[in-house]
Amino acid sequence: MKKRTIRSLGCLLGLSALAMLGGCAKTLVFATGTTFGLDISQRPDQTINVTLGYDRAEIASIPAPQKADATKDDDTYAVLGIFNVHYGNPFRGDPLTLHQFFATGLAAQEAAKRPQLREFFGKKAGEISRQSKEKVQ
Amino acid sequence: MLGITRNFRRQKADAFAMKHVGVFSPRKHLLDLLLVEVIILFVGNGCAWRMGRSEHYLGPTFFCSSEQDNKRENVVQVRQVGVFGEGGRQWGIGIGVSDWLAATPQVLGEAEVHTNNKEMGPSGGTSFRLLSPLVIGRWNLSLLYLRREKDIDPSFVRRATYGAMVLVGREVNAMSVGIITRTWLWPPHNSLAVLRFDDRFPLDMRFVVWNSRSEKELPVSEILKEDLP
Repeated sequence: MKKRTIRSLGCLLGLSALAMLGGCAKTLVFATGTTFGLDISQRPDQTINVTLGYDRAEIASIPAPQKADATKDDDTYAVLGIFNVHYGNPFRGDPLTLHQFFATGLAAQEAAKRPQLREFFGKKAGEISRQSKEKVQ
Repeated sequence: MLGITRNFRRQKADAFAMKHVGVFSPRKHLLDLLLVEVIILFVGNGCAWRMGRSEHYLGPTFFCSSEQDNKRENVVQVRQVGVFGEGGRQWGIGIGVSDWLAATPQVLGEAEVHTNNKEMGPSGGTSFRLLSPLVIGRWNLSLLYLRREKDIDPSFVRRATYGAMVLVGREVNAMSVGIITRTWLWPPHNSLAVLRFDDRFPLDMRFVVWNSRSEKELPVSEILKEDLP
């Protein structure tokens, strides 16, 4: 009986480990995660992560195929984006807010030509720089 | 003398029961009992199946969705309590509270957008079928069965678990205990995507996508209407 239970548990753990090793996504993805407790996970294109306690993470995965230069119809490398995540205290009911502006490929090229969007990105870059300086001080 | 006779009769009855009825051993049938309990709990609690264009929910499920309008983003929030499981695109089993939110963007322009190798048309509309009438924009409780049909896969997913859960699939492979919140955004390639999300007001989220293959020009003022004065 004990042997059978141990074998079943072993199989379950083995399957879980196998499952965690597989399934790496090869797609463009932005992910955020907040953990309070125990978390054993594998995020896209990442190795296995074990967290005990409190942790938070933000991940951007932009896979680029090998030998894929920009063409008239496709451009893997052009990226224009802002990724703003705000976490509060989960026990006080503070919210999670995401603000993301993201353009890839030909859309990024097109967006970079627009004066309004240039102004917008310049303004955001200024805000980020100012906030960073305030934090350092 | 009477006591001895009674004892003898009891022993005889026990021997008869052992021979003809058999003895139920809880240890021997522990796995079977656990299996039966798991099945009972599953039927009594929420179970979700998400595959292709349909989503099926069995058991008690709290459900909330934004207005089904092709001209704006579609947001759906599903909450299950107790022992819950899910299958299809993502497999998992858990205990506690599971909160799953999915959104499809408002597509600016007419052309098709390719997101994760699946075609996304200008319509991101969804349809619902329930045994009882559904109120849009408010929480609904489905006790038995709820079905949701959709045109495309969601491009934004937020998953929160309060309790324990094992997940395997496209979104994440994880074993978690505690309070875990995860979000995923899969923006389509050669596109511009804008996302504004506040988990206090999830149905009011803003999620728009413009594709470079679109026949329409990049609508800058519409994209930046909340960011520029």
